[in-house]
Amino acid sequence: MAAPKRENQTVSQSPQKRIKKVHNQHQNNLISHIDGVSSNPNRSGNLPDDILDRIFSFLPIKQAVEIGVLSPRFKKSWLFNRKILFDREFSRHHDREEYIHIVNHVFNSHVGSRIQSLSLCFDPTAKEHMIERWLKICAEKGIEELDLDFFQGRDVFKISQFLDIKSLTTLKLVYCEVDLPPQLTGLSFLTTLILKRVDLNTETMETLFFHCLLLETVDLWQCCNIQRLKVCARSLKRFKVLKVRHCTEILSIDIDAPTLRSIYYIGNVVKFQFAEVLHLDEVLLNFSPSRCFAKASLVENLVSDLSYANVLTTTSAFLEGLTTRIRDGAFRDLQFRLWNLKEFQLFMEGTSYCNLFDIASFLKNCPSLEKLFLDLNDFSFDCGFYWELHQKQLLQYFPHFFTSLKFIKVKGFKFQKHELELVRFLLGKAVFLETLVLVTPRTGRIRIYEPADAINYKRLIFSWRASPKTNIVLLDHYHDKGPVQPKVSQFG
Amino acid sequence: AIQSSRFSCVGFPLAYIFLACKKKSMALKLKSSDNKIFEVEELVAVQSETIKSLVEDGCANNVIPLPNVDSKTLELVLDWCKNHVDVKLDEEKLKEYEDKFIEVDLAVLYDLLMAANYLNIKDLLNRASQKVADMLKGKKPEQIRETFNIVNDFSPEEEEEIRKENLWAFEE
Repeated sequence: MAAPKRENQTVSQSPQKRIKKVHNQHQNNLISHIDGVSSNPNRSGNLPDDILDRIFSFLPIKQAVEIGVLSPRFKKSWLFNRKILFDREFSRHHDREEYIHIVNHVFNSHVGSRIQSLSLCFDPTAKEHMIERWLKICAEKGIEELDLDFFQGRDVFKISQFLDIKSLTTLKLVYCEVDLPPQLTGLSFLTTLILKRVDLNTETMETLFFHCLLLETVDLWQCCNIQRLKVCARSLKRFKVLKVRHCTEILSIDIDAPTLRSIYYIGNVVKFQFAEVLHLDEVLLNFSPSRCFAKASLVENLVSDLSYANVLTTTSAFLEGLTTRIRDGAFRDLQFRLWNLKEFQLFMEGTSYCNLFDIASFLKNCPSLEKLFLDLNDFSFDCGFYWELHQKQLLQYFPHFFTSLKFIKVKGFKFQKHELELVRFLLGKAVFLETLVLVTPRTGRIRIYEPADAINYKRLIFSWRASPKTNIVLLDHYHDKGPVQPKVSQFG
Repeated sequence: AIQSSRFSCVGFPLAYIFLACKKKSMALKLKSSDNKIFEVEELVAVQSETIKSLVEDGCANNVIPLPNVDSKTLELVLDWCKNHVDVKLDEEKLKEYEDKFIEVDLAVLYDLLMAANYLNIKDLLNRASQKVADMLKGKKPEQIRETFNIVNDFSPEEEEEIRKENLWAFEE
């Protein structure tokens, strides 16, 4: 429909070549700006309209409508849009009635044969029939990504039949209740499942693992009803990532998933049960400090299942569970080995008991450790008598060296006594250390040392090095943007 | 139906190819615009709907000239096709491959778009379109107009009309 006009355009352009050149220059800049790579200036303007239409169909709906002003030829491009995204940002600027009206208008006008993604974010109360209709249209047009964010709802939104969509690959639900039909026919192509504040129970998750054989990622966030999570993923070939965050009622997580590579857990210490020891790439165990000591046994059981993890990020509550204490009637260390661990990141939490000795005894069990990140937060090592009388001596004659360790970063370093002891210990034991980075605390207003002392501190810290090649850097918190950063953040 | 009629506008007369070829064979010879000959398995080449219809009509015996595709682009396109012969084998590796494949600069991306459109390779066309769309995300119409050399042939009144029709899309 648009081809003849296009020819007109090129004809009308030729007399203006000189102006065009300047234009091209500018446009080329723009492209390199978009692209990061400079490109041939002569080609960019010559795409036929049908290709442009196709490109525009992949823009988010709002932008697709907006480009209707480009030229009459693209006035109706948005009717073929594939990305109907009315996300939280959009819902912030429109009241509910208006929002629903706009979405409905888009669905009524849509003539393209494909809809790739749909995002909705509004209060769905009493609008079930509309949502159902929209989802039906989406299902007919082969929707792949569905994101329903109903956090504004008065009650939990109940979603069941109309979720049974065959073509879905990504499903994200917020504040919904999932009531799967007994005869689930859809969802068999699902690869990513994100459930936030969703009413879940053990059976629903089992059903999902049973049906969705292509699942790669499962992310549960604040799903407060579930108590026992069973990851029965033995027949899944691609299941790689499990995230469980802030699910407050959860008591146990059973994992039978041979292909799993990453686990991210944030919450209370819970019981993890593994059907087999996995070759995990990344593990995050952000345990909140526990009030009872009994939970330590849960951590003890867990660590042996992590024997082959590559990257571990955890909190001091985890180390607290591993500390030397009375086991089976005798005062002794816990026996474990993390053979493959290359990167360890530890967040010190204010209310846990964890000192240098615990860190040292953990590190000695990680023979391949190369990078160590310690975040001291506002933690102050309150070591007590036991440390002064007993552990301190043990550390003086600590027989292990950390021979693989190349890089250490200590964040929130305040030059306190115990922190200096920590640095002294690590520098003395990491005989092949290349770099030590000390980063000042986030609350940078406090002066942590007198400028006059700086030179003394420097001399002191440098004198602790076991390897004269070790480079030591002190960074302000704001300048901590070096090339070596931890792979996993505290919050997964 | 509306879609398909819109996408057929790079209609190059392929009729003379039909005359040139008669029998079916397992290896196909493709000739790029700069006269380079590429020998490929039929299974690889028929991912192009354009070539497929030639093969089905028994017209792919001799060299198939592709006057719209230069050798550099054709090599890329054929590489894509080779990797998409058996999709079900390893989807994860395929995705990795696609992501890497599409990390090219805009000029190459344009060539790929033109070639995929001409040869009618849907998945490549969509993947490349998606990539360009990702680059355009958040750009103002004026910037997009400049990027693609689109001349604004709206009168100010017409343009205002469009804005009014869907006011919601023009709010910040």
